[in-house]
Amino acid sequence: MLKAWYDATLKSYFPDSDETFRRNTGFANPVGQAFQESMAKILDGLMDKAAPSEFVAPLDRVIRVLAVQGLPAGVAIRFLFVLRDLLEKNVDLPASDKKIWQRQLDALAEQSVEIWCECRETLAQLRINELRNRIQQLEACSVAKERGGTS
Amino acid sequence: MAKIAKPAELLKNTGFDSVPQTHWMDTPVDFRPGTWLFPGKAESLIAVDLPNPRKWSPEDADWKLPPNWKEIILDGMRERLQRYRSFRVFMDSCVRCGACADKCHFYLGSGDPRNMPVLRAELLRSVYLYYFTPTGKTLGRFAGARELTEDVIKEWFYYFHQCTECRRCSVFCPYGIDTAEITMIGRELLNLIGCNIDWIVTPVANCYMKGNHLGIQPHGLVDSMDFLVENIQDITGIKIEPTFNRKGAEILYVPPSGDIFADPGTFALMGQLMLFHETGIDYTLSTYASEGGNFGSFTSMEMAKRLNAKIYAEAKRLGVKWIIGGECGHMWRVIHQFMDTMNGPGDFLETPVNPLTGTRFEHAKATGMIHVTEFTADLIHEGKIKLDPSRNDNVKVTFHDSCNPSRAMGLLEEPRYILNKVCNHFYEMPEETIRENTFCCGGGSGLGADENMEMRMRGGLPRANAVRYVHEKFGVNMLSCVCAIDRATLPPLMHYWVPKVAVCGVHELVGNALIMKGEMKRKQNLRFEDLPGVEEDGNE
Repeated sequence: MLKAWYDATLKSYFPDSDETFRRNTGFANPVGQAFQESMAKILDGLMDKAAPSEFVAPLDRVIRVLAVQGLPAGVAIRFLFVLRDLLEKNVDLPASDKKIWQRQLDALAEQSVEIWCECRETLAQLRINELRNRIQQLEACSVAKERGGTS
Repeated sequence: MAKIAKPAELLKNTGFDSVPQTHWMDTPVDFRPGTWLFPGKAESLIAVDLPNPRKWSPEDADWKLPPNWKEIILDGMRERLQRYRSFRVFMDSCVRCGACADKCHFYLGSGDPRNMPVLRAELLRSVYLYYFTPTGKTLGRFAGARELTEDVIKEWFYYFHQCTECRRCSVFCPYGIDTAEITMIGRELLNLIGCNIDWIVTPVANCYMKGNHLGIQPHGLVDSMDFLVENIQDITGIKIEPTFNRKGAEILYVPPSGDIFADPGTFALMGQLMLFHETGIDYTLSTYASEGGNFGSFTSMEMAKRLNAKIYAEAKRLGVKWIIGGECGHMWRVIHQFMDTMNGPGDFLETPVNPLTGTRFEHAKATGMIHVTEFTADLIHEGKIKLDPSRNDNVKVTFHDSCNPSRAMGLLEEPRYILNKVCNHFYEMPEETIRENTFCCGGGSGLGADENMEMRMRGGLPRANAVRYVHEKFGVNMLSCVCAIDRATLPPLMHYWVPKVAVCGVHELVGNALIMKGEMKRKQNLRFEDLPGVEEDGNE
């Protein structure tokens, strides 16, 4: 199940790239590593009916990557819907149990949107920080110029 | 669970599989905000005589290229194929084995195939094949060749500014193709028609006119240095008096100017000033050659030469015997690989000899210039300075091998030797991410602007991922490095990917640990933070 979910998620990348992400392991493949480790934790958490807090770190790791890869929030979270389809179609469980999963996945999707927004806000903040640093440097330089006289 | 759906089936109608499935030659560049860099300001181009100064934007349909832009580019290619044998060899010898494909940090962070080094080179090679080889002329696209169009220029601009010239890919190429040099040629060609970025061109103009990237005039530079000297006095009680433009000094010291003006580089520079004072070496700084970095090397070889020439000119004018270069990155590619033939020979200089230890740096005989970590490691090795590493006990340190010092000059051991002596908690990142395999910060070679922050985060992911590992495993909270660009680009990278890790220069930790003769009891580190174990007692 994990492999199918992982493979499907990687298929969202350019042809060849998904193959690279699937083939390489460890630190030579940070995207693949983040996805594989985090998706395993998410799936395990769903199976074990883990508390929502257990999902924050693995979700963050995946969404943090997707948030800088040009995907809008609505598309970035679709890897969770892929899992929902997988579970619905392939796991033979009572409807009540499936409903619990669905609710959990809905909650994960909401959490993911929040994480995506926070990531994008961080990016914007980083830009602001850089601009602020640059202005401070320019101010420091202009003070230095004044104190040092004019050339 | 017998039948699990295939990936394509699972992705159907999800919209998640929205990437273009067309051949790269048929896929136009999407200038998405956050991924590209602002073009060079006209006044900066004028300052250094670069062609086609104008106001334009990559988002515009019309890039206002010169009417004969195609002729200029093809003539430029022809000229460089004749001038640089390496360029022709790199164009001809690639067998598309793919060994480099998954080694680029931008590719690993984005999955965009045009960031595979082989394909980035192909952007240029396809044009070379079409216009300069019989097979390309005859077989066209079948042989991987294509015509030069304005869309190709746009693609070059986009992707040659997504390569940090870090040369990680070249480590893995069985033919020794240096893809960074292909990027360098690509950027040279783009410069011929005025397609350059402001984060490079303006520092180049500043450096040419004023001696450093920030455009600080000599008196401003001295004043900024005075500020650092005051901070050192507040922390140690010792007044340091660095000199500028002093004729007859034994050593010329050339730091990257970023360390004079921006934290955390300033802390690293303070550490170096303290070390020079403590050892009593006879050195001077220069206001004319006040920049070790060389953004000219991101523009063209001619521009690299123009900016680099200042160092030897000043060394000659001041009559120094040898030169120490600061904690800078790409400066060392220029010095180690180009300076000797570009502006040398430096035969008016002597082979550097450490006046305290007598160590003769034979490897620097040709250039007369050594890296400051070589000097410091030698001092420590010969027991010439006293250190208290416990002053750095508040930090668990790892070391980021900056691309150029590691891959272009082989500076791998000295920083590690120093770190192991000046702090008690040093941890390496995973083997495949350090030393000559090091992952770039994602903002080198002039890409450290703010407008491409999203792209920087993609490119920096492999480095950050390794930092995350040592942060989680060992509690690492400090990422040290020996490059001014790293000290500018790694803090935002850490902020996004591993927020609890700060960034420092190696000599900041040296300055903290250094026991200076006559110093007052140290209570604070170079950041004015309380030293570990020292309680605030209000005693100023």
